[in-house]
Amino acid sequence: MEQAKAGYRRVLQELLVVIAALILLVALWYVVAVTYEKPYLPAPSQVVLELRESFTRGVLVENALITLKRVVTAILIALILGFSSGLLASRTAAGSRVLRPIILATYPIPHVTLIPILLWILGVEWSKIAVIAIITYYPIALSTMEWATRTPREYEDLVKSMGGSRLHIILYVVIPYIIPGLLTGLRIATSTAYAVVFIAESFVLTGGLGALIEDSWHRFDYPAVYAYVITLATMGITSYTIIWALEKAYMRRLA
Amino acid sequence: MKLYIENLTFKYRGDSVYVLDSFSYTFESPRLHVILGPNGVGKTTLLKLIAGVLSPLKGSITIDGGLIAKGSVTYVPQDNELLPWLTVYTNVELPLRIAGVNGGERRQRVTEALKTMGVLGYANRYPKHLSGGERKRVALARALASDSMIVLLDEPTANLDPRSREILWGYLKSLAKGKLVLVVTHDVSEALREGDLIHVLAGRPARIVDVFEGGEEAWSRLRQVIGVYYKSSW
Repeated sequence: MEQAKAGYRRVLQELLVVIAALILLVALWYVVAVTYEKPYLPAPSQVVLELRESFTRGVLVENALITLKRVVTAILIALILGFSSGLLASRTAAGSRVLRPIILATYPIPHVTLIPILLWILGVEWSKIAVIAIITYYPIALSTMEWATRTPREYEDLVKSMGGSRLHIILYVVIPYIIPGLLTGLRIATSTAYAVVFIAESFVLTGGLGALIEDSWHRFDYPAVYAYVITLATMGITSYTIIWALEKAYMRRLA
Repeated sequence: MKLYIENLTFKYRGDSVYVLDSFSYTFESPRLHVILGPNGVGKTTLLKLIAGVLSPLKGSITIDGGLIAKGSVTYVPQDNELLPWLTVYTNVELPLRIAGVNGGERRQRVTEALKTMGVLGYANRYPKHLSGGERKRVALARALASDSMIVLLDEPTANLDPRSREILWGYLKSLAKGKLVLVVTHDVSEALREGDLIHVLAGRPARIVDVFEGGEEAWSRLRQVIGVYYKSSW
């Protein structure tokens, strides 16, 4: 209990530091904006006004939800495929002979460049989801693979001594053991996903924050570009923080 | 009940020397058996073979001539005797789940076992919140709940304080009234004082070089054995 309290206090402290840093950053931005008065550097107040305006018009929420839906769908696909293939590649003989080299060999490909090709094959909507899923697949598959190969032998022995099958070992030892690694992979995947969704959405404009940024940029609507970039960044930071908190909570329970 | 070990042969992959070669032995229950021997002689290997964690190259291990059924052996390794990601309750329940025991019966047996071992109050805690002695008792509760006929413990009192050791031996003795309890240790004085039967494992390949009852006279007997088999290296 005491430990948990101390843990929460530390998280709170870290949160305060982040908020303080943000305030400092906005203050700095304000000073620079007012001093130089460039059109491409609007004051924070202008951006806030833009945010409020697009929020009341419903544009912000509508497009943020489109982006969120794409990111979440892609990550769910990446999670299922990455986790299962990572497990197969590290825990089965055939998997480590066939799957593992394929995963490792295709990892360094710059997958963003697949967008034009995916567009032909999958159409406008699914090509966006697919490219995010492909890119986020790798951190998840790789961390699953790495953690699954170094599962402590003693825990496997324990389940084996109870008469447990291979499935039992996967279920009660391997999966719980790799959850922290999986969450780390997921955390990295999520921050990458928000970067990729921008590229995917600005390639062919069919809604989403990426499309709004691209569109506002072409119209030289500076405050709008800032407003949507901030929204996208906030979504990324929030997702990252949620997964990070999950990781911490799980680790605190174990060690 | 008797545990028959027949012609057990084993060596680790890559090793040229056999740990066990045509090792045959019988352990009888209910008793508290202690296997003594120097480090590296093969005590842990023997336990792991009986537990089914390692597979022998040759030979068989049977209970009264029959195959060892799921859940009839509980193995308590020296460290990591519980899965850290499961609560105390779920740890004890795990062998029952694996054996396919239904939910109602599982609950009853787990609760009963935790109560007997004096750890019911910790049911919802994770192993890291328990002391070493408490973790061992939870592992013993696992043996009770799954109604194992054989309980194997590897150095159970290592890293325990004297008071916890005493408590643990008490539980082991009462457990040994109904089961075959097999303890491996290199703590000689404890083994001689607490064990019903002392088996001395020595040599490479290892074999049982002497068996005697625990108690006061055990010391002088052991001294003779050590004189013959280890000179003064123990």
